[in-house]
Amino acid sequence: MPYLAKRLLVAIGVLFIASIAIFMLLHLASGNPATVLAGPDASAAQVAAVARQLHLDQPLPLQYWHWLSGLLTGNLGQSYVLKRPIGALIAQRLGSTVQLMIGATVLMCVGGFAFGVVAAETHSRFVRWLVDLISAAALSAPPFVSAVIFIFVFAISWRVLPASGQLNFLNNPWLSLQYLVMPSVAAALPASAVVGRLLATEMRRVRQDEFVRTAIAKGAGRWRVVLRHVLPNALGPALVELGIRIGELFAGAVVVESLFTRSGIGSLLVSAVEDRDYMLADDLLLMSVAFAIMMQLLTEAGMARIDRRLLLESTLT
Amino acid sequence: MRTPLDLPLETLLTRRTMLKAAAVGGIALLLDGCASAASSSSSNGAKARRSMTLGTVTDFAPTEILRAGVNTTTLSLIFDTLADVDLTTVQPTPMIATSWVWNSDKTELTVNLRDDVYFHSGRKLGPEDAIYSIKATQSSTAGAQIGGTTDLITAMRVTGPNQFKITVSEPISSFANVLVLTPLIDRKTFSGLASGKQVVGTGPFRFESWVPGSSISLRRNDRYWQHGLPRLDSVKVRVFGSEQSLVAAIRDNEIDLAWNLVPSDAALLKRGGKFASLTTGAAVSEWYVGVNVKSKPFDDVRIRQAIAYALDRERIVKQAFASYGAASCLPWSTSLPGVAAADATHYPYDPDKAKALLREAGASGVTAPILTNSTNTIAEAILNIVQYNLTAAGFKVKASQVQATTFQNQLQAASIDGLWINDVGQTYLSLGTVLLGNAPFKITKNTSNVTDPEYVSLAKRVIYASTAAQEASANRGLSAYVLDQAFHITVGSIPTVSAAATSLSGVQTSGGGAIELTGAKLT
Repeated sequence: MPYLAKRLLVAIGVLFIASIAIFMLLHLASGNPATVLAGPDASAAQVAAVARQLHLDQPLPLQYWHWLSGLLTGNLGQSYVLKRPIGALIAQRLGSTVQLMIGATVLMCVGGFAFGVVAAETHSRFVRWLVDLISAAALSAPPFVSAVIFIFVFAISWRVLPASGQLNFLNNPWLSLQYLVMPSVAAALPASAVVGRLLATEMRRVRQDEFVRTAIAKGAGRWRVVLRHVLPNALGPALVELGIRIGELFAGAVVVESLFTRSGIGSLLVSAVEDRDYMLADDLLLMSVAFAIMMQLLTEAGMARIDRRLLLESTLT
Repeated sequence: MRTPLDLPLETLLTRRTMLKAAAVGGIALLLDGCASAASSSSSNGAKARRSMTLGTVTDFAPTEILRAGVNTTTLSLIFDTLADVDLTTVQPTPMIATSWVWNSDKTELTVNLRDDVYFHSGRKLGPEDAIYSIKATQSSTAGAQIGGTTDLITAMRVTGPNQFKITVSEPISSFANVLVLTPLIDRKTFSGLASGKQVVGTGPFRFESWVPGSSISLRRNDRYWQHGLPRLDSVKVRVFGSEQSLVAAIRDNEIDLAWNLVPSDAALLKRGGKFASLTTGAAVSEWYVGVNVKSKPFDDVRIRQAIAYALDRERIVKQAFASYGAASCLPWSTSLPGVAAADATHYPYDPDKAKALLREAGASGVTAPILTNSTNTIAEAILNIVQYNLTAAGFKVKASQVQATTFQNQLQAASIDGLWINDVGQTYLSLGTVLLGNAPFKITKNTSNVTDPEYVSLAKRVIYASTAAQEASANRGLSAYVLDQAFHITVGSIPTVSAAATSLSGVQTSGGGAIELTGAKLT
């Protein structure tokens, strides 16, 4: 069976198991949307009345089946708390998440590759020291720390960038980019440092291979060796890491979204879980898992493209 | 021929080259001639003085329109009530209802309405709409605190083009709060309210749009019954994901008012001198340590009283409330009829007395589990102080925090083991409303599991008091009981605290604690 087809079958299996786990975990947690909707001063009878209204008194397997069958037919359902179609809620938020994902991905790639190549190729102690310092600082700065620092420096003290908010990129690209800079950098920093380190380590290892020495011996220039021989063969671990980090951005940038007041999927998911908005939370969690799996598949496809030996191995097994 | 690709990296990346690049980048940033989102946000006020932006961390919740204390940023902007309340006298004042009169035995209330009030849809408001709004609070799914009072209504009928009557089986002392706490909703569009698609009221601003978790846009109601008002053309309510980002936004001049700040943040902003600190006229949140009287050993009143003596309320007000609000031992205002000012200091801070009571009860070193809502900053601040106080008094404190929904679930079920810290609203209004609608005090089932027939009897005396003298006497009796039994140990009350740009004036709050911008303007 073709390499990617096998991976796809496994992915479907993982999604099915994940759907059961997601459904059970949320429903087993204490509280339900009726608790939230009825309010803190409601009596048990009032909470039960709301629960009946939302069909939460049905057996769990039946609720699971209704949810899953709706998903399979493209019906994401309606939010219990917001009383709006979930598809519309996601569509409203998707733009912001996509903007942040693209911005952070670009920075992760540019920053990660720049760190990695410079760290692997420099002979200057000063440059190596500088790269190590920047990389260590980036790695040890979680988004909630770097975000606060950026806001204080660039928004409150220097006033060159806005502290929070977002704009539709299509309405005003330049202003939209300004709203995007700080959140993207905060989300990308730790990941770009990891990508850079992985790339640098692998590049140093590949440099010792015989085919690289052969290329040098044949008179190839330094950068030609790096870009045409070393880098393509050193990309593997860095690509895998990139795929994981991009997959996390779909619903995992919630801290960045919260601090920069971006209405993305992450913050929608967190509020859905807090409010026990089962339908919305279940849909978003499953979408996050699906997106992460898709990124892994794309990463593996990319690696198979770069390293044909992977494809060959899979056809031989 | 050698190309740049063939040059060693060190040739390209010298110290001098990198410093030059950094200098060029910095100058480019400073000389940025393109539009800046930061400068455009801070000059918003100068461009459009009739448009205001308000920031909050609480999103619009159209499903909870009928519940007091929830939509405090939008409720009074979109909806009117039949009456407001004078926060100094705690007496209802006319609003859409021009007058209301009880019959001789106080079982029938005649309410007269204004003749010039229109819904945002253009339809004229009539007595049928007032009756519909009151009936909506009776729904078991509305979650309205005033529903406990409106459930006692036996009949409502229209008796004139701008008049209706409400009948109750016996006098209810706090009934006027029904007029204060019921927003007037449009019965023709109510089905679209829950989803936020049709939010129609009679208030000074019309609902335009709502992006959940992001913003609510409102536009001036040109047909508002208060002629010449509102002064603002539009209001945008921005929802922030965290209190930190709300504070950053007001400091960055992105918003004109940050509503319902954590008190310490408001104090910090006020100290900077660039913002005015606003507080609501009433102490809308009464913070307390709740006790489950069915949970051993807290069924012993001496242990509950020991907790009351152990708490340093002044320190809580100073640190947790940042000196906004006031310490008190009583859940409600001492200005209510029959309530003595001395009740507010019934339990002075006395750790020795607390220890003595514990010894007397044979409970020195007893474990005191305390539960709080992990997402509430004020609750966490109070917990730290209460933990310290109780430990000093001889308790072995076991503190735990749970998520808001789990906390609410346990509160509703009255199943919290031991103690908890929480706040309750509307206690500045009359006791009757609180006894009928607020979970810590309900006589049917309350969060402390108090089922003592004496409590029920005292509470009913308050609810059904028909004269001023009866009300005063009933308030006196209930206050003494609540203080003595110490199942609801008040630490203090705090108003809603906000920070506003100095260019903003005329901001007020309604009797229900919601923001009012009818007379607000930007200079």
